[in-house]
Amino acid sequence: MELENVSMIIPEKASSTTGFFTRPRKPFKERIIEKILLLLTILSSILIFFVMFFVISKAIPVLKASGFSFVFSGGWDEIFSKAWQASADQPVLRFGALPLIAGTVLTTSGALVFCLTFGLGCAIFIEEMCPAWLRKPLKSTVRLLAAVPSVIYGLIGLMIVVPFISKHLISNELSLRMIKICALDGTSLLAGIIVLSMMIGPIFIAMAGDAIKSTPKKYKEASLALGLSHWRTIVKIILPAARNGIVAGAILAAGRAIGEAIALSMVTGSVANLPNPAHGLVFFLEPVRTLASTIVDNAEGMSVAACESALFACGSFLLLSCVLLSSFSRIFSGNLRTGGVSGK
Amino acid sequence: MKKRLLVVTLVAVLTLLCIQLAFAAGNISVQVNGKSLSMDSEPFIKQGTVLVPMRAIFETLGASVKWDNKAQKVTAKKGSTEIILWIGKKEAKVGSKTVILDVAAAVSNGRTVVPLRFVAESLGAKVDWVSSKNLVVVTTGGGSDATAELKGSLKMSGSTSVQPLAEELTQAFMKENPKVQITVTGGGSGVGIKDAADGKVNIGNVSRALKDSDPKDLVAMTIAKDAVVIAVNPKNTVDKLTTDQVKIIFTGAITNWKEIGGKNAPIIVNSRTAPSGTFDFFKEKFLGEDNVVATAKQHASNGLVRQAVAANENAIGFISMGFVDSSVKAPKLDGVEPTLENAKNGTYKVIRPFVMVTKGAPTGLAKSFLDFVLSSEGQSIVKKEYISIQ
Repeated sequence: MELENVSMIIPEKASSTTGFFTRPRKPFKERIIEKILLLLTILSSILIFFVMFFVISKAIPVLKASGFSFVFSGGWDEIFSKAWQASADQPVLRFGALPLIAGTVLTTSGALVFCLTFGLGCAIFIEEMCPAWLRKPLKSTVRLLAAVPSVIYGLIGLMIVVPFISKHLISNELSLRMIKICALDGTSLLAGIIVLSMMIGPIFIAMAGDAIKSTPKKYKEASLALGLSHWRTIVKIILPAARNGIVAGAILAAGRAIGEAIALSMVTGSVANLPNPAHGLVFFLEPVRTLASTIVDNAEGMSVAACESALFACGSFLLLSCVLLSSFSRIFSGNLRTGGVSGK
Repeated sequence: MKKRLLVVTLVAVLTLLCIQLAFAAGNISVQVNGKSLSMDSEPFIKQGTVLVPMRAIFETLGASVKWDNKAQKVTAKKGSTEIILWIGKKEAKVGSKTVILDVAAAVSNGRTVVPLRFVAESLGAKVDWVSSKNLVVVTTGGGSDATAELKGSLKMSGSTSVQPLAEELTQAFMKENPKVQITVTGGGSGVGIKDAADGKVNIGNVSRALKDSDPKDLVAMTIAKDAVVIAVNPKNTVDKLTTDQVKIIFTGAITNWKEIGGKNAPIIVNSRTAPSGTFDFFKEKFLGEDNVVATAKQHASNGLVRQAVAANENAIGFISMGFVDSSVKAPKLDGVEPTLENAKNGTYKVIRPFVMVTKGAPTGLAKSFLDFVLSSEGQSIVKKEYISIQ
C-alpha cells in the first residue's frame, strides 16, 4: 500500500528505465501510455528526417546539373523563365542562385548587426538600468512584439519603410543613373534589413535579457565591491559572463531571419539582383531577393519539374543553414547551462 | 460437444434461410438516373405500389423533407413544388391540388415509406417498371425544375486574373444552389494547371490558351475573354503608348520617360513571374522572342503589380482589365482607349481567353457549374467586366 502511494507521488521515478526504484510490475495503463509516447517520439523524429530527405531528393536534379555554379553564378530570373518555357525533353537545370544566397546573407547579417547593437543596448537597459516599475511593462512589450506575425511587419514595411526610402533617400537623378543596372524604387536591401530587424529584434532582446539576468549576482556584487563603476561592471563582467546566452539568442534570431519569406518578399524588390558594393552606399538601396522569398514568389512555377527542383534546391540550402544554426545554438546554450562563464 | 455443434449449425442455417427469405421478398431495386438508390430499409410492394423509405428518395431527387410527428405529416419541398403526405391517409397534396393515392404512406420497420411513383412523378421525374428485374427506373428530366438539387463541394485554383470573375460566378451559382460549396484560390495559371492535372482541384483557372507543354489529359473550356492593359501611375503625364513603345520599354531599350514624352524620370518596369498566364500572353503579344529587361520587378499576382504601380510615380506594369481601378491609369494603346466597350467591339485588340480546365471531360458538379458559367445567366455576369464568349 505504501509502495503504491509513493509511485503515485513520483511517477517519473517509478517509470524511469534506470531501475532506481524497482517495482514488481507497472500498471498496464502506464506501460501503454509510455509505449505510445515512445512511438510518437520516434515518429516525429522520423518525420524530420523524412522532410529533409524529401526536400533534398527533389532538389537533386538541379543541384547535380548546376554543381558549384548554383552557388557562384547568377541570372536566376532569366533562367527560371527559360526553365518554365523549356520543353519537357530538354529541361533547363543549370540554375545560379548567387543573388538569392547573397540576398539572404545580406539581409540576415544586416539585421543581426542592428540586433547586436541596438538590441543588446535594449537588453542591458531593461535588465540593468531600467527603473523597477518600468521593467515589467517593457519586458512584456518586447515579448508581445516577438509574437507579432511576420506579415504584419511586411505590411508596415511596404506602407511606411519603402515609401520613406523612396521619398527621402533616392533622388530622381540617382534613380536615373542606376536604371540600367537596377530599378531603385524604395524596395531594397535597406528596407529588408529594417523590417527584419524589427522582426527579430524582440526575440534577440528577450533572449539576451535572460542571459544577462542569469549572470550570477555575486559577480556583479564582487565587481562593484572592488570599486568598478556600474557601467564598467556591465562591459567587463556581466556581458562576458552572458556572452554565450547572447550568442545563442543571436543565432536563434538569425534562424528566423533566414527563413523569413513573406515580409521580405514584400519589401526587398522581387528581383534577383546582386547588389554591387562598388556603388557605395547605393548598395543598400538596391533590390535583392532572398532564398525564402524566391520560393514564395516563384511557387507558381512548381508545375514544371525543373522549376520545382530549383525551388527545392533553394529550400535545401535554407534547411542546411537552419540545421547548422540550430546546432550552433545548441552548443552555446549548452555552455550557458553549465555555468555560463567564458574563458576570461 | 456434438449437441453444441448441432445447435450452432442449426442457428447458422436458420439465419441464412431468414436472410434468403428477406432478400427474396424485398428484392426490388430502385435506380435513379442510372445509379442504384441506397436505402436504409428495403423497398417493398403493397397492392401493386412500390413503397420506398422517404428520406432516400426525396433527398436523391433533391427535395427537402420535413416530418411533423404530431400531425403524422410528411412535407417535401423542391423549388416551387410542395408535396404533403399523411401516414395512413390516402389523400395527398401536390401544391394546392389534392390527389387520391392507391396506397397511403406508412411506417414500416420504424421508417416512413412513401409510394415511389407518386412522389417521383410529382417531382417531375419519369418512372418505369422493369418487371423482369424487379427494378424501378427513375429518370429526372432535362428541365431545370426537374433536375435534382445540387449539393457537394468544388475546389478551384489558378490564375489571379480569372479569380475575381470565378468568385463572382461561384457566388451566383451558390446562391442558386445553397447546398453547394465552392472555394476559389489563386496561385497563377501554372498552379491551376498543375492542381487540376494532379486532381487537387476540380477546376483549374487559366488565363491563356492551353499549350503543347501542358498535361495532355486536361480539357479546356473558354468561359470569357479578357483584355490586358498597360498600367501606369495616375501622376504619370504619359497618356498614350504604341505597341512598339511598350516593347522597347519592357525590353529595357529605353529607360527614361522623357524619351516617350514624359518627364525626365526613370521607367520602373514591373512584370510578372514566368508562370503567370497574363505574362505569357503579354510576352507573346508585345515582346515576341525578346525577354523582359532583367531589372524588371517580378510580381506573383495582378494585385501586386497594381500595388507596385500605384505606389511609384515612375512605374509601369500590365494587368488584367478587371483589375484597373482609380489607383492606376491605363494609357491609350495605339490611339485606342482601353475600355470594356472598346474591347467588346474589337477596337482594343489585346485580348486573351479565360479558360477553365478539368482533368478529363467535366462530370458531376463541375459539369453543372461549367454549364452554368456558359449559360446566358453565367455569361451575363461575365459581361459586367469582361467579354462574353457569346
